[in-house]
Amino acid sequence: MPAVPRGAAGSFFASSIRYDRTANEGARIDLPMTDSSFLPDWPANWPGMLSLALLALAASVAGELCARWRAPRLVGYTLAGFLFALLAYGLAQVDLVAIAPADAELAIGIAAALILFDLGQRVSWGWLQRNPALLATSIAESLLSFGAVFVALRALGTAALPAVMTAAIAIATSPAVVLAITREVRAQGQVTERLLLLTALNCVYAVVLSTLLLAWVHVESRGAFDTWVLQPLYLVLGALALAAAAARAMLAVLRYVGRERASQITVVLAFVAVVFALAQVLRLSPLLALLTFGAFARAFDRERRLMAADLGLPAALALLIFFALSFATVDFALLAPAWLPAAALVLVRVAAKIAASVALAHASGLAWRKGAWLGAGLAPMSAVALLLSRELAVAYPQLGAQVGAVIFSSVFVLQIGGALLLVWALRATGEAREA
Amino acid sequence: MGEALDFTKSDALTMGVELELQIVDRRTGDLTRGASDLIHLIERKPYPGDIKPEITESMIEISTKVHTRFGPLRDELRAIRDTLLQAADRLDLAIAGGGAHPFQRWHERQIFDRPRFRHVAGLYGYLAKQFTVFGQHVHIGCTSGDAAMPLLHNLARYVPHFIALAACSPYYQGVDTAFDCSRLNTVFAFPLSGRAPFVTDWAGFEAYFAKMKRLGVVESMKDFYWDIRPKPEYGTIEIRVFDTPLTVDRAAELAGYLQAVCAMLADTGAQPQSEDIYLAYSYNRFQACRFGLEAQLIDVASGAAIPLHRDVLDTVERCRPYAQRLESTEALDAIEALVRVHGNQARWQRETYQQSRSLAEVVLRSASLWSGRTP
Repeated sequence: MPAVPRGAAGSFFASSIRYDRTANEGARIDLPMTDSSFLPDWPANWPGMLSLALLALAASVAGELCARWRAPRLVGYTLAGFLFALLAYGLAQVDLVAIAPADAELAIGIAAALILFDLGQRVSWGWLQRNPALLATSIAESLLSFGAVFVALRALGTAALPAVMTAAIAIATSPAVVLAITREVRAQGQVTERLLLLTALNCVYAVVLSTLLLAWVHVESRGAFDTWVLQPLYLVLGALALAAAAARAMLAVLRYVGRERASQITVVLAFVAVVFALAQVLRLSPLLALLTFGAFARAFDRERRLMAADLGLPAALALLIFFALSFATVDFALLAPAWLPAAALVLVRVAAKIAASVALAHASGLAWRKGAWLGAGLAPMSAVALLLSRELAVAYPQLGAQVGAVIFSSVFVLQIGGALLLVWALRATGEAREA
Repeated sequence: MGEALDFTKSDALTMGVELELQIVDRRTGDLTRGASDLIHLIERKPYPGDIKPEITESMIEISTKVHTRFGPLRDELRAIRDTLLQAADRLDLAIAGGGAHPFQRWHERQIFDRPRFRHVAGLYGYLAKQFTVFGQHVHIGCTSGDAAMPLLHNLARYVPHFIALAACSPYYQGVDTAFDCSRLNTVFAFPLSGRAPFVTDWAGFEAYFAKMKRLGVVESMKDFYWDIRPKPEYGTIEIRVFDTPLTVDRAAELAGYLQAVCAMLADTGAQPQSEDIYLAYSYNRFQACRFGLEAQLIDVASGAAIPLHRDVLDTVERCRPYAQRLESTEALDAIEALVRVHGNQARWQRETYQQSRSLAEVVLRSASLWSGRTP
């Protein structure tokens, strides 16, 4: 049963069980006012923020445990969130540890906004111009993984429509995983830089393509041509316009703030929040808006005003919250049925990305071995994919459920599995700089 | 006792230049890994000069062939620069000169993966990583070891010139060091830095080297980090006090100035008589590092204090006849303009920082200066 979110494209992420918190209230026994009325109610009425804080604590401990075993911290964060969800599932009846979806959504939305901006501002247009083979690599790995996933799903008997939607969504690499891992191992070098660039680009392709496909579905099924042409146009162009305007405005403000890193961070964080909020209000894709906001901020910045290249602690905190929450509100009903197509998706997607990257490695000035590791590094999948399948589910619950099941199971594998593969790639190419 | 150090004969006053360069992230201005990827890309086609990895992945070394004239030397340096830039463009890297990176944290540097570098890192510990500084080395050909040693000692008087003219490492680890050349302070930390012993013939030097080797202090000539050292296998002496300049043209001009000074010394320089020439050496060297062209030098012969910039201008005048013969008048003109008008590149870096209030910006602007593409 896919839960219905509040806004079509308005929320980042909402694969949540909707605990009906009010349902329990009737169960509480109304005690007459007595001398002990200063004591808390029982069962205690936990504030949602407390659950969130406890989850963050559990996640950071789990993350450090992982670090001790040279595993990426995000594995710990994710598993802590997952255990939390299991606990919540088990204890749902007494409503002890459930995180209110509103709290989760806001926290995860802000965190994701920051992550996407951080990734976007690493996109170098100049590089794509100076090295066209890199742009070719980006297009090839996206097209090839799109095609391969589509063919594999069709071969396994998936209908054309869910297969094509799933394939479009599977183009995207997880920005959160890529950023978290490259930060954690302090990666530096060609594979790292290309990975960040290709990830930003394939996320944009995935968003645009799935928006267009959705519009096409609308035309096919309802025939209301004009509305469903205008809507994707509005979603995509609106997000780009918002991003461009915000980037100009931020650079104008930064002229006065100067290049001191500490003072810039506040301005940047505020602008990220503004873009996120405006994208929600205007019902634009926050994902596209924030990625392109970062990219435009870098592209328009001819005087190099934007110095806050690394958001540091705020970004680290955002990543922790993001991973801890990504499975903390999981819907277990979604996990079960789609293992076979999900496994096929995972395999052909990774193979396609590696093949494209190897094929174009030489032309783009990379040793083919590093090209292979670059392709493997593109494996992680996470929230972008989930978000896109949610958007689909809003408009077409049945199609959304088919796509969502496969995507969700794949993300489940590729958030952790992809992260481990990426760490391996960065270590093998000598780009990880762990102490 | 010990094997002989054979000094290869080369033509007098030939020269070759090595430059250690910074590999910089175009977005942040920080040092970044890239030496092996750059070399991988460059080695696909024939290329001018020589391009090699250095001790860390964020440093790359270029060197020229042997030259007799300033003009062709500069042309070759420009050709190597353009080759390097072509590769760097495709990898989204920037290349910059400068004696030190203004704000890199040395503990973040990674040592290049080769046995010799691993050995150096193991021996010197944090010094090896702190040694992420970037110098220009100029080789001057000598006909014999017996010709090399007197030239080496006679050049000592001019070492402060070379330091001050080339100085461009005012910022180190994120602070203004107050030095024009902070790089040489890093070199001082090594046990075998400083100057060569006062021996004036090759037999004497061989004896010295044999003793040091027997004592186990050194294994090869590579272990000496002197300001000027003989390089018997090339048949040269190697002057190592220059910071890597911000442009290849400046690197060629400095080599041209050195060559003219050597020509003058070969013509007029007497045999160095006593170790007294080194009495003020460390003091003058410090003055040049700290104050650049404003340094006050102590002249041991006369006992007088002379402003360094005055001394350079005098030397340029005395060298002009030799420069004419060596076709390097252009180089001397540039040195004169540096002293009279522009100041050294440490000054350029400080002015750029004043203007931008950002060390990252200093690096990125010096990278575009190095590319020679923008005026």
